[in-house]
Amino acid sequence: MTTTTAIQTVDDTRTRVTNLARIVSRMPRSAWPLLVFVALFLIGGLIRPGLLSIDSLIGTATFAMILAIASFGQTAAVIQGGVDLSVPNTIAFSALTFLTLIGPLGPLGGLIGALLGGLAIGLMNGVIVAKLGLTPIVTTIAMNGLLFGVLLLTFKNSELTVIPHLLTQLTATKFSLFGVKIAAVLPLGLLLMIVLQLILSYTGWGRSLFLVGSAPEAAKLAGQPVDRIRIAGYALSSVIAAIAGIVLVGFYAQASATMGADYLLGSVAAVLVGGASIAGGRGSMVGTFGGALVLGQVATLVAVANLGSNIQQLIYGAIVLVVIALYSRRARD
Amino acid sequence: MTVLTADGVATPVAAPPAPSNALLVVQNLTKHYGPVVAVQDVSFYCLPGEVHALIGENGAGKSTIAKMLAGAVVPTSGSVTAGGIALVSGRIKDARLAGVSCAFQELALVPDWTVAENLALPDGAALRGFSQRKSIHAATALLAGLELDHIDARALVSSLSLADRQFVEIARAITGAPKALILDEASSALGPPGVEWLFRRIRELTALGTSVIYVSHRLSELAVIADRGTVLRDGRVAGEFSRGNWSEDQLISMMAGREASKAFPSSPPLPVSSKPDVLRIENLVAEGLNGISILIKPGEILGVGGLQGHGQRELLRALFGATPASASKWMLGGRPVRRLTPVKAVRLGAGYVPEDRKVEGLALELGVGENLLAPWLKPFQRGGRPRLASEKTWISGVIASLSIRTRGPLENAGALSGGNQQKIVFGRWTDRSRTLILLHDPTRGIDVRAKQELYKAIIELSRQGVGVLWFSTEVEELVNICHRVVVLYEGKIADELEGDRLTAEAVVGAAVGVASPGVSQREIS
Repeated sequence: MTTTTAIQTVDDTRTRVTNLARIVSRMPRSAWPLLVFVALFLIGGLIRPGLLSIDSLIGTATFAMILAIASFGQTAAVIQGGVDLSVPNTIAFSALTFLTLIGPLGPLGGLIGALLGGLAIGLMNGVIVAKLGLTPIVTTIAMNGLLFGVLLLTFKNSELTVIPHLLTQLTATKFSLFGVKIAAVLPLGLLLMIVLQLILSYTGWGRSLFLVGSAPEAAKLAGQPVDRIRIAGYALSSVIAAIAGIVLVGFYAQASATMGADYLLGSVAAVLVGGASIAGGRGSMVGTFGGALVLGQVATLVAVANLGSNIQQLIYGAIVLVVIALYSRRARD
Repeated sequence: MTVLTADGVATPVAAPPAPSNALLVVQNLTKHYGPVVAVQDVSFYCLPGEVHALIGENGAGKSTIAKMLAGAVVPTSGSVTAGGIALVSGRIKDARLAGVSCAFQELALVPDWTVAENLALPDGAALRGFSQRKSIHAATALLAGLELDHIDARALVSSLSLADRQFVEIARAITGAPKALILDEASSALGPPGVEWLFRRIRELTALGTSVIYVSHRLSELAVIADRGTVLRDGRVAGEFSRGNWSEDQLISMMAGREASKAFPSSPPLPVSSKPDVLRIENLVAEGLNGISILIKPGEILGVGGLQGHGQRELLRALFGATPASASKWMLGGRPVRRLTPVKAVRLGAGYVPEDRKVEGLALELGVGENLLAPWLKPFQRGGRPRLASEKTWISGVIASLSIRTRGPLENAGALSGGNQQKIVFGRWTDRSRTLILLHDPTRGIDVRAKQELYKAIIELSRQGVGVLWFSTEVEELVNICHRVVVLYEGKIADELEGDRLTAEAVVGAAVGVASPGVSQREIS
């Protein structure tokens, strides 16, 4: 009799564990970084109760949204099975092109010019990777270096600061919602995120990015134009980086050749923390925003602890390593 | 646990204790993956010099047991002893030191290394000094000693055909002079002569007192090689048998848990059709192909026979545009073809079921539904869930007609068993107004029931007027189901067989380059 009870107890615990495991396994991947963010936010509150406020939340979210806008393109590049390390200088290139062109062509001309520049960069990345078969890391890091050269040659020691009023209004202006001041970049970024997520989840092109990233050979033998899908993925990545460049100009009201430097590691970290697989075939825009929130909160904590931005880079690097290790471990099981 | 007695009646008995001279003893072996039971309470033993077969359908737990024996997977409970030494550490090296080696089904070779480097790998060569010259020398001698002279020790494994890779994997398992050798579907990619080769090696080893655990789907091989065997079903022992006291039908019903027949359906009569020929190609030349001419009429099932590596893979890939090829005349679905690509091939009505379903066929991380839709995604159309919803009728139709066992279109394709994965790769082309389907050995390594379901589906395609080009390593399939068979030999058509001439002997004869029958008939029976 006692034995039976013992067995039943064991069974009960097992069922409970299984139930928990089922809930955990059913949770969408993009929910993980949001949970981690909430945990970090509460930890921040324990360290310094002042951090546990709406204003602090909005501050972190604004910072995170800017990182996220810079990382949305990276997300597309990673999903189709590559990585785009030319994001930083594409940002700077687009920002400086924009500011240079608004003089002669006006804001709309500047915008179109900057986006076309981004498109050209992405097409070049894509054609080299897909058609010539070079590895994405080497190709895009070379493109990043090349762009830096172009930036230094073309926009000599220019700290351009004449920003069109409309752009500032769209990004930096704060408006009040239920008594909370919110920078315009936050809803703008959310809109971009939703649009991109819808494209990724619900269009044939978006799904083909996942297909190619997950199994390129299978995609080819199913009759999908793999090269074209790849190239389009890189093009999207660079165009969004170009948009990020313009948003950064508006928000910080300045531009320089090195303005994108933080986003090399930052964009990769946000995408990976957001649940994307570095091997391709997995990732989401919502997850990337979650990843950016986590990194933003880490930055806040680093600032509160007065550790400086070098330590912040070190922590980002460590986070990337840990995340890659965790995900590849889970994939093996 | 049931045992098949002499009169073929299964009776439950307690697991008998292993005799004291048994070399490999497996007791109550159990493996759980989370809530999933892969293997439950499996016990068997193997005497020195004995061949013990493990058979069962896909997902019955054969490979999991093989991996546990080899030390690649840690059992949840139970014990494995080899020559008195307990093996439960889950380390392949420990298993090898105890004299247990394994040729894995999912070949465990490093593709970018040479054959010689791969053969030297288990000895821990990387930790000691490694000499290319010595390893190539050793590997060449080893391959020659195993009658594998045709494999170049300096060649990269990735450049070898699947059959040759399997030879290398087996050779590597044999090299350590193991006390117990586990062969996990070791014959799956081998043609009849390759299977003969494998049996010669097994006899050599058993003569020296080695125990061999032989995991296989091919029942015809068991009659030749197995001394005893264990039948598995759903991770449990469903029965045991020993030489001479079983029939194929009995084993199949034990595996399937019900009476099943091994009969092949016969091909439907060719429909009289006014439609143009599905494929007409003359003098096709590509890498590995040397002037091949083929004609397929609507509804015709054209079999392609021959040994592995005589151009079948190249032929199918060339016809789908996956490798560059040229021909003096090339018509697909009545339209002329020039510089074919897979994109164009699909547009012209072709479909392809490639050799390696896990790499070439499926995106394992995506759902069943999206894998079915893989050829039909268009950039400017809906995708994802809205597309799954709008294609719901087609998807559930495919799942039902092929009896794909899945929890639904959203389940990851990687979670399905091999046979069901194969059905997805096949099913994506059904009911999509195709004119030509190219099949690369779709029934390789899948269970009996799944095979029957695929046969049915192929015949249904034929009935709808779809032309089928079907390469199979199972001669019986070619002889029984196809209308006509071409046999490839060294990149050329060695013989074209039809009607009375279409016999197993003729197919095998042409495959090994002789016109007269009488070679390797054992594998065909």
